[in-house]
Amino acid sequence: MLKLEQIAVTYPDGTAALNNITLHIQKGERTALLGANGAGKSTLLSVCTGIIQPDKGDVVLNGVKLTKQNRSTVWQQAGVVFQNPDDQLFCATVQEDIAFGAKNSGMNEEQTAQAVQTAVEKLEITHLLSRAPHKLSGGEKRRVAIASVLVTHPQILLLDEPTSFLDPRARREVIDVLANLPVTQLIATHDMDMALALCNRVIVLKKGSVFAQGLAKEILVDEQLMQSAGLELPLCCQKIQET
Amino acid sequence: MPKMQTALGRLNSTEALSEKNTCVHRLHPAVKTVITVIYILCVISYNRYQLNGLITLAVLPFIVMPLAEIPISAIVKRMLVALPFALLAAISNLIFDTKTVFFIKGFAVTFGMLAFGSVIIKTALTVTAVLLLVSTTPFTKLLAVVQAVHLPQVLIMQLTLTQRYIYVLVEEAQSTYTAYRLRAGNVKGVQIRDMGTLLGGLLLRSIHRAERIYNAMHCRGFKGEYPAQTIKKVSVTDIFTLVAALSVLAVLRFIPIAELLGKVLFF
Ligand SMILES: Nc1ncnc2c1ncn2[C@@H]1O[C@H](COP(=O)(O)OP(=O)(O)OP(=O)(O)O)[C@@H](O)[C@H]1O
Ligand SMILES: [Mg+2]
Repeated sequence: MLKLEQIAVTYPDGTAALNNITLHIQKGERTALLGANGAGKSTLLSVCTGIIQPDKGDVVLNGVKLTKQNRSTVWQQAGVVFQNPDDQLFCATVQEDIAFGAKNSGMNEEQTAQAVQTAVEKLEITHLLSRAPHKLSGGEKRRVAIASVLVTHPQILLLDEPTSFLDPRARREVIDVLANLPVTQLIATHDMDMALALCNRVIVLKKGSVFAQGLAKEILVDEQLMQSAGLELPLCCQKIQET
Repeated sequence: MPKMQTALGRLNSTEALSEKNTCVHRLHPAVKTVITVIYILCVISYNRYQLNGLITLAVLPFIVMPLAEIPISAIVKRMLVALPFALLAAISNLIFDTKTVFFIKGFAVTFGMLAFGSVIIKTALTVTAVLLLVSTTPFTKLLAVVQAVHLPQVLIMQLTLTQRYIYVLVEEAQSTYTAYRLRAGNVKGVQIRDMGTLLGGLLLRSIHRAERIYNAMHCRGFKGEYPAQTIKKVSVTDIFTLVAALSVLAVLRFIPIAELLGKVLFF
C-alpha cells in the first residue's frame, strides 16, 4: 500500500531529520509511528504526502512512485490530519471546510453534499455543520479535521498526534472514531496506550532512523527497547510491572 | 493586555448577536446591505445646518433594534469608540461659526452649534447603521454579498482567513505577552527594547502558521479555488421589505415631517 524506500531528508538549515528510512505499510493495517520529540515523525508524514521532497529515496503509494508531476494528486489517496486542527480548518464554517476537499476532487454539488453528509454522520458531527471552526472544542475540531479528510475517501489516513491537547473524554472519542474507520492508518503519536489499543503494528523512530518495527503487542511491552528509544511503556503495562 | 481581551470579547459578542434568529436576522443580507447603504446616503446628504431631517431619520434605528433584539447598550458601547473622533472634528464649528441663527428663551443658538450637532448625529447614525448591519448579519453572509458583486476572489479569501485566524492570532499575542509579563519584573506594558523581540516572534509564528495552513490547503487539493460563499435566493418577503424600507426612507428624506408636525402642533 505505502512503501518508503531509503528516504533521507535534510532540512535547509542542515538538520538531518530522516536518514535511510525503509518501511512498508500493508493495506487495512493500523500502524503507530512512535519516537521521542524530534525523532522525525512529522517529517516522515510530510514526506508521504509530498509536502517535503526527500533528498534521497522513493515514496511508492499503491504501486505509483511519487514524483514532482504527480505530487499534486497524492492528496486524494493519502489524507493527512495535521497535529493542530487550527491549521487544518481554514474555512469560515465546518460545512465549507468538509466540502473543500470534495469539491477539489471534482465532485459536483450533489455528490459533495452527499459525501459531506456521509462523513459527518460517520463522525457524529452533523450538529456542528453551520458552526465556525474557531468556536469548537478541541475534540470537536479534531473530529471535523478527520471528516474534512475522509470526504474524499482516501485509501490511507496519516494522522499526526491525533490525541494531543485533548481531555480524556475527547481522546476516547477520537480513539473510538479511528477504531471504527475501515481505512489504512499511520498514526504518529506519543500516546502509547492509544498505540496499544488501536494498532497491530508499530514503527519506532530514533534520531531519524527506524529503530525498531514489529507487532505492537511485542514492541510496546519491551521495556528495554522502549527505554533506549527514549519512550515509556504504556500505562497499563507499567501497572502490571509494579504489581 | 486587557485591552486586547476586551476587543476580542466585543468581536465575539458581535458575532453572537449576529447569530440570533429574528425577522431582521432572517432578512436577505443583500437587502440589509442595500438598505444600510441608502440609509447612510440619506443621513450624509443633509447639509450641515439641517438638524430636523436628521432627527427624523434617527427614529429608524430605534425601530430596528427591538425588532432585531439588539440591546441599545451593545450599540452604545461600540459607538463610544467612534464618537471621540467626531467630537474632535466637530468642535471647531463651535469656535469659528458663531453667527446666531435664532434664540431659545434668550439663549443664542449659533450656526456652529447646529453644525456641531449635525456632525455628531451624522456620525452616531451612520455608525449605528453599520453596527446594526454587522450585528444582524453573520460575517460570512456579508462576505457572500461582497462576492456577489464580483470583488476579486483573493480579497474574499483574505477576508475570510482574517476572520478565521484573528482569534488564534490574538490568543497567541496574549500568551506571548503574559509570558513576557511574568518574567519582565515590575514594568508597565512592554519596554521599547523588548518590543522588537516580541513582535518579531509573533511575526515568525504567524509566518510558520501561514505555511502550515498553506500546506494543509494543498493536502486537500487547493488550486486557487476558495469555497464560494453561497448566497440564498431573494424571497418575496425580502423584496417587499426592501421596497417598504426604501419608501419609508424616501418619505423621511424628502418630506419635511418634523417641520410639518411642528406646524400642525404649534400654529
Ligand atoms: N522546518 C524545519 N527546519 C529545520 N529543522 C526542522 C524543521 N522541522 C523539523 N526540524 C528538525 O527535524 C527533526 C525532526 O523533526 P520532527 O518534527 O519530524 O520530529 P517529531 O518526531 O515530529 O517530533 P515531535 O514529537 O516533537 O512532534 C528535529 O530535529 C527538528 O528539530
Ligand atoms: Mg511532530
